[in-house]
Amino acid sequence: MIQVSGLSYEYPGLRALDDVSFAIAPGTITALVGPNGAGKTTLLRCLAGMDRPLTGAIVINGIDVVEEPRLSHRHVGYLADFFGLYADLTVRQCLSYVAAANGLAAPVVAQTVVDTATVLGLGLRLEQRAGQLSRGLRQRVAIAQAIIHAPTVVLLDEPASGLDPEARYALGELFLTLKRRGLTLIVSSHILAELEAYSTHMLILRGGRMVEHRALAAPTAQATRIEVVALEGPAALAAALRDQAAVAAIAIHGSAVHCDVNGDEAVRANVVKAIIDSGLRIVQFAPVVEDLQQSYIDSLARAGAASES
Amino acid sequence: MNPELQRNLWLEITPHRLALVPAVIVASAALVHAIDPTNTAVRSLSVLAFMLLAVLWGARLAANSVLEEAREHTWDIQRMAALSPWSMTWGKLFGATVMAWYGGGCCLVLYLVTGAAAAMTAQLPACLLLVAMAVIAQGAALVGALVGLRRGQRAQARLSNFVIVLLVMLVLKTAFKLDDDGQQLSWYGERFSVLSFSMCAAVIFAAWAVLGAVRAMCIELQLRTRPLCWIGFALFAAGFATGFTAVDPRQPLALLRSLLSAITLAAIVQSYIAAFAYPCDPIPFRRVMQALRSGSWDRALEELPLWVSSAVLALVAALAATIAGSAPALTNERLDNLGASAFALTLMMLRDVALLIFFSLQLRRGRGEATTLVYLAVLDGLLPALLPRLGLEGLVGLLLPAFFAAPMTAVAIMAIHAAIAAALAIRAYRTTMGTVTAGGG
Repeated sequence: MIQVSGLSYEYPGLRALDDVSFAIAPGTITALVGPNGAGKTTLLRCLAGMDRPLTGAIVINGIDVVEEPRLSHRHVGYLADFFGLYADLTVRQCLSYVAAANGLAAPVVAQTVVDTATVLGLGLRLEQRAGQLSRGLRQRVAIAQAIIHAPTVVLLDEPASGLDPEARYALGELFLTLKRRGLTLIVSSHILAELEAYSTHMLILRGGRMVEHRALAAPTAQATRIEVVALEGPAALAAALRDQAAVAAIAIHGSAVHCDVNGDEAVRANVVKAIIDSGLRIVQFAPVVEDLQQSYIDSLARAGAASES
Repeated sequence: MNPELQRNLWLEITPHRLALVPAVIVASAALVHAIDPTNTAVRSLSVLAFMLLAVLWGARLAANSVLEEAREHTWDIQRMAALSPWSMTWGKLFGATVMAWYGGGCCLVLYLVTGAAAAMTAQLPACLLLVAMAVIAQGAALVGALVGLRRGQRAQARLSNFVIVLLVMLVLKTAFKLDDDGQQLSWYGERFSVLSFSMCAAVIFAAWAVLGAVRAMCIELQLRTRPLCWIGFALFAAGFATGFTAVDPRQPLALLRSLLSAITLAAIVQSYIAAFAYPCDPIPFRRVMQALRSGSWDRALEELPLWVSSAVLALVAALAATIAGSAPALTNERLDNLGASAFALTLMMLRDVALLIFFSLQLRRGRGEATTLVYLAVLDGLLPALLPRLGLEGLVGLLLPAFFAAPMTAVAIMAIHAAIAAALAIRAYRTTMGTVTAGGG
């Protein structure tokens, strides 16, 4: 659990963060987005205990990061936007050093290095020098260094910058793997399409202030947001859906109807069957995938309008 | 093994380097021996080579052990690590410099084996002195680099390290002599062999250098520190220097005056160093104000800029020196009894630091220091030299009063100077705080 309240940070003459507050649940991936100069890097550095805020509190897993930054480092992995590696060391030496420097006992370092390298797909690269690796593999080594001490929170600042599409896809898959292992990730990026693939939440900053922080539309244990289109039109479709007990939050969006279906795949199948039985001809029945780019632009526009008014 | 030491050993030590360094040293010694068959030249060469390798090159390596991390963007990895400041410091101090120590060690072996066998034990103090000199230089360079990181201007950090190393070498070269030719010195009225005294002093200063590096590392690793070590060094340095004055240690009052004068001067020098070395921005003052508002005195003490603690020490010592130094039988025209002059000098330092704060807040980052130095040169050098030639001798005293001839007048004038500079600094601080704009990084 990450709890941030009243966080402010100032550079001389510039307020980089202004009264930022939010809470992040464990096991989530939060996309940290915002225009250049929004305060994303400063926020991540404060969360990592690298920079001390002027005011406010940051609590990660019950540890006050502002008061005990060194203690919090045991729970936090951090990958800076401009990360570096020890180019003349092998991958094994890089990982061994970071593992030992993070307090892992000598007898377990070797096995931890192998395990972490395997998770990151670096198992066959252990004897290669870090400086000889491709950009994508270097990124993986840097992430391995950030997670080798088994932190519960991983903060990644622009991790996909400079990567080719294949490496970006692989990185997204890696983040989902880490999420499945129970880690909480905060990922800042300008490339919203890539964040869309794996993020569960979105936190928008602008001008050092938090514009929005919410969960992204995605299947959950409770409900799935569905988009339904029928040849007979949205009004008839909405009426048919209202008869279904498992369906809630029905709203017409153009020619489509959006609704939340509470239940698993069997429940959704029953909803489809009921619509067909009512004589409607379904053209589309699919989970709504939120367009992060559009949501981001909408949020910034709303924030801009609010600040102008 | 210390992981930082281990990593440095991985990077620095190769079989090729291990073989090359002694081979070059032995070959050089053989050449010198062929030219001058006596061992004198070889011994001089070995000392010179040690100075070049362990002191000069070692200091450069020690500074680079953090500057390179910053340049290669690996410093964040180290700051996130669980290594203690002490482990990180000695891992860097003796790991990054391992080849310098290896080469220096070879030179010391050469120095010992070419000395007369009977005098082997007499040579050990000289070797210990050399080792301590190297530790002082490397520790000072590491401190300079860590402070340089705070400024975010690596070029300046490199320059400051270079200056530090040059200064250390200059001081040590003139202060210490390697050959024990029976010379003695007096310290607090006691006679000591120059070599033995130098060795002991160098070892103690080396310990201070390492301690200073650990404290600087604490700040970089986000550990909260109080300026006790900093103040402790001022007191130690003052006590050390007082021993060399001509004051009779059997006269307690004279000794006290001398000690207070030395503490004042040491604290003034420290204040200047800390004020000019660390970046001067308003954020630390805001933190102090917030800590005070919340009644957290401990936190306020931790957040205080380093120069403030030295300035407070200087004020306290100057006040005491003023009170203790007013005996009419004694003259104030000596550094070992500053009397009220100590207070005037302290006020002058406060004026200069206030001007530094004023210009640093007004100008683009990095330009405040240079501008302050220019103004101080004009204020304390150019104008006092120019005014008499313009027939305005009377104004000289208002700019640069006679600190020793008329100390109380100097106190009054410097108090006015300091008050004006402080008003400028406070106004600049308020202006800066009033123009904070939104937008992050």
